[in-house]
Amino acid sequence: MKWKTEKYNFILAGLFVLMAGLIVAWKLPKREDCYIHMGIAVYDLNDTFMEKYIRTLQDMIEKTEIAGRKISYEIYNADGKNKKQEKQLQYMYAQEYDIMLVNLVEPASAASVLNEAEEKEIPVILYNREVAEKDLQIVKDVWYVGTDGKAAGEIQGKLLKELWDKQKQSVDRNQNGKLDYILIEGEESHYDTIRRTNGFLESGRELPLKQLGNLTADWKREIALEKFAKLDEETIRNTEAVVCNNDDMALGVYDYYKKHQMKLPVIIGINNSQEMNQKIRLGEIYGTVDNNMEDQAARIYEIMKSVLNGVIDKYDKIWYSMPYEIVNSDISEEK
Amino acid sequence: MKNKKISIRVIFPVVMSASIAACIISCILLFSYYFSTYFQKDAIEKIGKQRDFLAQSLETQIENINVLINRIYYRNIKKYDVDSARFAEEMEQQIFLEEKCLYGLALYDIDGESIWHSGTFAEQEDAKEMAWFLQAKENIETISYGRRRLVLPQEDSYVFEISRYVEYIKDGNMRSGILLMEYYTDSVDEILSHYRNQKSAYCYLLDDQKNMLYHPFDKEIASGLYKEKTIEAALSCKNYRIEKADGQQWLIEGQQIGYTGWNMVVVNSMDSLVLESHNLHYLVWFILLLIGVILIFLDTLVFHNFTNPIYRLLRTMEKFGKGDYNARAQEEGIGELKNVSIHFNIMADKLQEQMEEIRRNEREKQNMEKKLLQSQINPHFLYNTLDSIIWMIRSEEYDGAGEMVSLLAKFFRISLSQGKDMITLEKELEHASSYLAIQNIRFKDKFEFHVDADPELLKYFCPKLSIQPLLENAIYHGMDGMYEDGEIEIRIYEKNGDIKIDVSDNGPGMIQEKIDYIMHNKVVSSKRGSGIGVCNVNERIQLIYGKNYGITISSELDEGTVATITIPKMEEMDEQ
Repeated sequence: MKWKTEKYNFILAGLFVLMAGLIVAWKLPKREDCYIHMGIAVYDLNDTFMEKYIRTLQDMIEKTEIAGRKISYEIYNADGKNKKQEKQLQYMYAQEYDIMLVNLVEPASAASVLNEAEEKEIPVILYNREVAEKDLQIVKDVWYVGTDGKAAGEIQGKLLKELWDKQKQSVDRNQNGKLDYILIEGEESHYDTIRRTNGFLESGRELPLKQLGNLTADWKREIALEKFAKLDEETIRNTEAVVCNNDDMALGVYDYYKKHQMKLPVIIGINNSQEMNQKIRLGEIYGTVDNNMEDQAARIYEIMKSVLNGVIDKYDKIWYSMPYEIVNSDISEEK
Repeated sequence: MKNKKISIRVIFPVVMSASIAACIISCILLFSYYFSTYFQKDAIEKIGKQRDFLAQSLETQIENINVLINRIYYRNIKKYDVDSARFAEEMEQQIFLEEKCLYGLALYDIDGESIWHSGTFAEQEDAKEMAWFLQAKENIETISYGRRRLVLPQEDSYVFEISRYVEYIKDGNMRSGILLMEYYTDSVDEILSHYRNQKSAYCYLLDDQKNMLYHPFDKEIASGLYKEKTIEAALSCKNYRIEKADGQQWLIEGQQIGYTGWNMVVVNSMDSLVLESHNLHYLVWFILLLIGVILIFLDTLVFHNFTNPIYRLLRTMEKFGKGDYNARAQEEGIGELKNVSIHFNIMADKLQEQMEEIRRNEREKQNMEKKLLQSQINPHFLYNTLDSIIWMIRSEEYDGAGEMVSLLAKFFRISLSQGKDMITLEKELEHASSYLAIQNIRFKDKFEFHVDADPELLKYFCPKLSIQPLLENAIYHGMDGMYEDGEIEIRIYEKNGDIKIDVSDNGPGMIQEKIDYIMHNKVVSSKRGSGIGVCNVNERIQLIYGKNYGITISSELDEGTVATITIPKMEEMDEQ
């Protein structure tokens, strides 16, 4: 009898210890993750501008430590396909990232993306491709970092006007007193396309502009080349200037002229890509607009750091970098 | 004892029942609480899913509209000079293709001057003051979703005013302008009307200015019969909100529709949502109550099964305690309880055995005592009698001596009686007579004696040597100092069914103190007597027959003393 009681006591004590252990194990804080996890969605890394953008961001992120934790990040390239990005985003929500940087393929679908991210309590920094301001108001922890497209377009107009004013004779090849130009736009209904074009049109109002053609080349060099080649020769011969929404498309036009070994017209792009910059230095291309991508990356970086430190209302929801012009002054003087 | 009995039998089941009832009630409450929370959560989730679905459908529809307006813009307006015939042709074609949903199209320049509009379109004079115009002009990159407008009053159709900034070609140059598209609300209404549109469950759509774009009870609202009260609540809440209105709980879930800034609100009466759960509630309550009742019943049953044997055992023990040594407990009950009864019975058996043994021992002891008493016949009597005989022989009274010897022989024979304890009255009387005769001879006829016995009674038994001590007493106390006129009488008669034996003398009598002394002290009247006292005889009779029998002595001074033995009529007595 006594032995039995002792046995029961023993079992009871064992159970008690087991339960206490379970409770302690459950209550104990889980081992701190030594990394901050971040997901970066990019609409298309084949876009030279985006590629450079991401590289700049990567450099910044890799150098960073927040509260002694390094940042581990993954980059999701959607190759410009909305369906692919949707899948990637679903995967990203499931990863429970601490923060997400999203460059949407389809900015119109921002609302659902933001709603889902909020449900998972993931702060989102949108960049490069702007979304409707109304959608940004749906959720709290979201920011947009971009560039002032209209200002960039206005700079294009200004550059063209400066050139016209100074070297009207050499620019007006057919001497009709008008500036015959072709406009090559980026993606249809893309905010930057509309804004850059709008800016250019507004600042170019004082010029005797005559539009010979208007192409849409989806920001891409090959498409620009292809579509430009389809214009009739008469138009191309009369073209005195080609204004492009970005550098890649400008280089596409440049490719056409080089291919046909024709005299280059005045070409203006936006972004100040490396190749463009080189061509400008060589005097082959007139100018471009720098979107101040470093500033944007820096801004993203700042917001990111602030959010990860728990400060969420320090920065405005929408921020634009100020673009500036890049021209080879020698050439512009010389011409 | 009685109180305690009541309390434990009553209090225990009451406490148990109360505990069970408390547990069941707690269960019911907890269950109700968790279930209603669960059902509420479930309902919220369910409605949330419906809301998400509706919102998604709306967003898809919005996207279609966006695609349409962009197509018109990029494929027509941006492509053809507005003054060219191709432009108008293409635009009309577009309207024709989308006749089902397009009511009208109009293109204005940035200063609000009309450039082109479709046939059905009613030109708006002050276009540049209109909200759709200003909005589109301000947000050049987005498509603006304006208010809802009633068109074709006879057909009661509504259109959305959708506008966007465009660049059109005129005279070979690009110019800024605003495109207005009037789009029938039907496609959007259709999506929302899929939702159950009852008073207890409906959804509505607001634009970013809180104007109603769709409401199932549009007409009632217009005629003032219905008022939507949930707008403020819907816009101020994040995901869902439960609001009290009209004495009901309303679940309000709002969601902003992407791109447009519209807000879609789903309103559901909480009562009708949770209604389905009520049946389940009642079922579970019923089951829990049933379990409770069964538990209480079982509890009482088990308790009774538990206590009843104990109480029966208790009663048996009481009976046993009161002297009924044959009382035994029923060996019943559960487990240990049965053992208690069994062990009680074993104990009772043992106890009874021991009692029997003690009684047997006691009786043996008494028998021994009796035997001892009988054998205590004083040898002085024998010596004296023998002395008398010797003296009689010396004085040559041979006849007297012979009689004396034969009397003595009779006396001793009966005295011994083969060791029997009970002898017939006849024998006892004979014994008494022989004693008297011997004493009479010895005392030289100092007294006379008579025996008057009912011959009917002589066959009955009486304890041996019960009369002789009385006679001894009568001789030594009654005859003392008497000369030749002493008289001793023995009478045996029946009275009240008992046998009475009177031994009376005509002596000087005794005072009460002396009677008491004789009755209560183990004294013998004479050293020369049989050695058995009156008190002894009395005790013996009472030992054998009970307290109702025995010896009584009454005496009157100078008159005499009567000692009476009362014994029952007994034919035979077991010799024990």
